[in-house]
Amino acid sequence: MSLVKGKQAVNQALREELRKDPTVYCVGEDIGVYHRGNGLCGTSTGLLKEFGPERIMETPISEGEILGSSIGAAVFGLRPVAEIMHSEFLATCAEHLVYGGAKMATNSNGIKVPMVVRTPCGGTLPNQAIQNENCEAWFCNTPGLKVVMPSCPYDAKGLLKSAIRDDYPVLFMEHHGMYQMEQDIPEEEYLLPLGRADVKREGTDLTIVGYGFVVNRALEAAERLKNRYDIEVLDLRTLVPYDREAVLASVRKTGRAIVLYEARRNGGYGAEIAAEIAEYAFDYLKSPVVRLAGPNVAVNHPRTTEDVVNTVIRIMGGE
Amino acid sequence: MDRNLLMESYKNLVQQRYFQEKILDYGIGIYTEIGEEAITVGACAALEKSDIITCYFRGEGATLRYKGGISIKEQMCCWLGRLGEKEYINTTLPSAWTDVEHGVIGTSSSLIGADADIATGAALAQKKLGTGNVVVFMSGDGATSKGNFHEMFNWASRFQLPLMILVRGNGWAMSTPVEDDICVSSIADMVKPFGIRTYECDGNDVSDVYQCIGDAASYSRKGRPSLVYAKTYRISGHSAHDEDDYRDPAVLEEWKKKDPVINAENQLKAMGVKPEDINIVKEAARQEIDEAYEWALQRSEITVKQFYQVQQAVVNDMWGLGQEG
Repeated sequence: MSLVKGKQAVNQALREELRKDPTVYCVGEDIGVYHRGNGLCGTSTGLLKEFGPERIMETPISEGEILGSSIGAAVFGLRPVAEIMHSEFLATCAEHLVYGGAKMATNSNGIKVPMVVRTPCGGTLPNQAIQNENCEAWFCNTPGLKVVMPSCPYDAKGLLKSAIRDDYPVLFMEHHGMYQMEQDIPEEEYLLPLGRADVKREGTDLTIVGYGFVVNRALEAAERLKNRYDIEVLDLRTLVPYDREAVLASVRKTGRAIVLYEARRNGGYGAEIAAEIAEYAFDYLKSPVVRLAGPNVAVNHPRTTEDVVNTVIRIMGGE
Repeated sequence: MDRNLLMESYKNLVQQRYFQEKILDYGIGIYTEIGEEAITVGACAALEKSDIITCYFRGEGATLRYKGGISIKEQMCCWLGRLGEKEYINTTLPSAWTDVEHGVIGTSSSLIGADADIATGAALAQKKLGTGNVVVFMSGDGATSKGNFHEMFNWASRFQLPLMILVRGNGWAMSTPVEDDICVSSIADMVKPFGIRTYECDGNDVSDVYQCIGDAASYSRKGRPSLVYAKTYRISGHSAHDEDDYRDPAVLEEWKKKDPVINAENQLKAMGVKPEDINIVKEAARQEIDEAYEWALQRSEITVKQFYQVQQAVVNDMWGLGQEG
């Protein structure tokens, strides 16, 4: 095992897949020389040096082309890993994720489009105005497209490797806080399956099902409350398609659910999970399914451990 | 073009014209390329089998018949909502189909310009894989207002891509004349600053299109972007539903005289082909369309449920869900 930060875990995944498969290449803005060769968020370390400009392709400012060209290249034999510098920028190239990636395949009896779009998302500060977007909800309504949000370095590496080996488009969203988070990860190669959730902590009183970096707040809250409540924390890992069996199994066991996500609450993807729990596990519920998510304001406000603690206490009857 | 190729192209022109007329008669509101068929037919004839071309919405999937592996009968079934023999029922819009094997990139939405980026990527793959293939991005002229085009020009130049931008200059962006929309003297002038070599041809003359595309393809194969401007005129309305009451009828009449089908006929006559022989080819070509139409009408209708099931199966596959969904 070695202790790494999330950005290093991502970097390792990229390096390993670039080494393994010559059709894999990275494409994006400033993914080569910027910041002493580490890239904006530290995920590019050493890649340009080892693989050269053909495989670490630095581009003009053209998100449309970064994603659009990745689709064309993916359809005709390559495996692009596109990087969109900030998830905010997805707005300017969404046409390619939503129509080009998914719909192109469904229109054509399933041609392979092995494209990954990586993008930093989220924030750790409450009043940051820009470059901390959580816009996953926009893309969770596109059948065929996968959306993945790792909560920690270990998950990030294993999931990214799987995403790169997947034959269809994957939107891979890496939280800024996760980049700095430290965790022990194995030296040996490992992959984590897409579409499967992970029980990060077992419990019997209440299920917190969440995705992304905010899952760590749930783990902290569960630890803090461990002498009062036995809390299960379920990390979706993949948002679409999500692991419905795991979610329902957990809620049937505990009878209570909080759906936790950093993005703005209303219309957020967690609302979909909440609706599914209410529909398919209704008979097992002791109290209504609650969403704990960001406030409905323009700027991203991440929830704190305190917020999770208070919500748990409220649902459990406030003892 | 030699006589045999011109004869075959003439047959294809007749068939594309008649195919569109049949579909219009049936009542489907398509975006016709009436008056512009020589560009589609000439381009497909000029390219190698391994080259790649975008489908383009106007003409509704003709590229898939001339470059791709779709037969007239199959495509007719698609339009008439019938089950063909190959179960080509994933979409109600033939031009949305991507045929990787035969090098045709389908339209994934009606967003103008999206295919510009995708074609750039296909060209990038040809370069990285060293295939020697050229990618043709076929587009209308009004579309060049879109931002995607300018990113494409920049990328094609920056990365020296084997990309041919084939602009069909039909003069109209729906109801606006393209000369109102484009604020440079010509589309060629738009791309010259990027170092993209420009070519121009008569879009109503299938031989000229064939020659020009062949020249541009030879040039671009080596990893140098080019633009071919094929001058033509949109004889039909924007789509079948367009009342087309905003244009000068005198201009339209002038351009009708330059009909690409008649143009090819005249070229064949000039080569010494007898009018009777031309007629035989024309009638046989039209009969093939008629037979395909009758055959398709006899096939069973695709139900909404069948259509949905096919789409769901593809989505399940993409999501790795297997059969259970």
